[in-house]
Amino acid sequence: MKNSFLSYLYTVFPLVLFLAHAASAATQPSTPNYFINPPVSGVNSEYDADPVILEGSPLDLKWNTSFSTFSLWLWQQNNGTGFCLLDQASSATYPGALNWTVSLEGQFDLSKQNGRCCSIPTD
Amino acid sequence: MPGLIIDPVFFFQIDDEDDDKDDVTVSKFTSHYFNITSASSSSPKSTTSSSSTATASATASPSATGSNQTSKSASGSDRYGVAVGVGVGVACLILGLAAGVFWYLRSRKNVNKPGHSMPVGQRSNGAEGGYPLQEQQVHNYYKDKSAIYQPIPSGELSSETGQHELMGPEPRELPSHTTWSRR
Repeated sequence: MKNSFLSYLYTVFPLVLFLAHAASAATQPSTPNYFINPPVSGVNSEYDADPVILEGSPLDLKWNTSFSTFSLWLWQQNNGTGFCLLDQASSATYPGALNWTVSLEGQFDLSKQNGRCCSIPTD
Repeated sequence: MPGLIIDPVFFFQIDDEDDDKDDVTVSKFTSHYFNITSASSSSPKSTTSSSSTATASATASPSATGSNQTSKSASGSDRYGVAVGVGVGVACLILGLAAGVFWYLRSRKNVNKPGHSMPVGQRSNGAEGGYPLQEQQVHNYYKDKSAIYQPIPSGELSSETGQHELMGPEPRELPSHTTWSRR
């Protein structure tokens, strides 16, 4: 009886551990490169859950990357306009964080709508 | 023509400059889209601006289209994946523990049930048949188990002794007074 129970433990317990580990691994980002704030990218061209930030307010940018040297860009969707916040930055200098004051950086215009118009059928 | 207009949306992008030797950035990742609203504006510009119809018709600029979204989505599908992963892990843990308890209880039940151990060799040594087994008999059974399951001798002659090598215990001689009768 004791031996059978031990054989059960030796057989099933590693399987349970493996499944638990696989489940926990599935919850982790698959790559070491991702943004923390703003959140990681969502579905392309899906804007429903976009956060709204106020111009002039401080924003703590946070990210995780394995790149030793990188550049941080702010892009406006559908406008082809980008602004480089950090150029050839080192991970040692900027280890995944930057305090940035929300600004249009003289590049972007909020009054300029960058989305495409889509027609709505009118009866 | 009436239509829906998507408010300006922004995103951050990090490019790997170590991978930029040929002026072709291979590795990059982006943040979630976000909207910037002006402090001077009386009403937020873009909190409810986008609809599914508008997003379906939106086409990304080359810069936005070229950005590989290598990171996992944190909204919607990612939360669903987290919930599924945690659920599967907890379910496996509960099932494993339940199976262990069931196994343990079943093993205890079988031990207490009469006839759990087979009285192998009990009649050949003259002991009375029946149950329960004496502790010494159970011990001898497991002790002699290795000998019982020895392979049947093939009858080949040993190269050294020239005799048959019988595996297992020596056959017992029946007592002279043993008689065989059909029930």
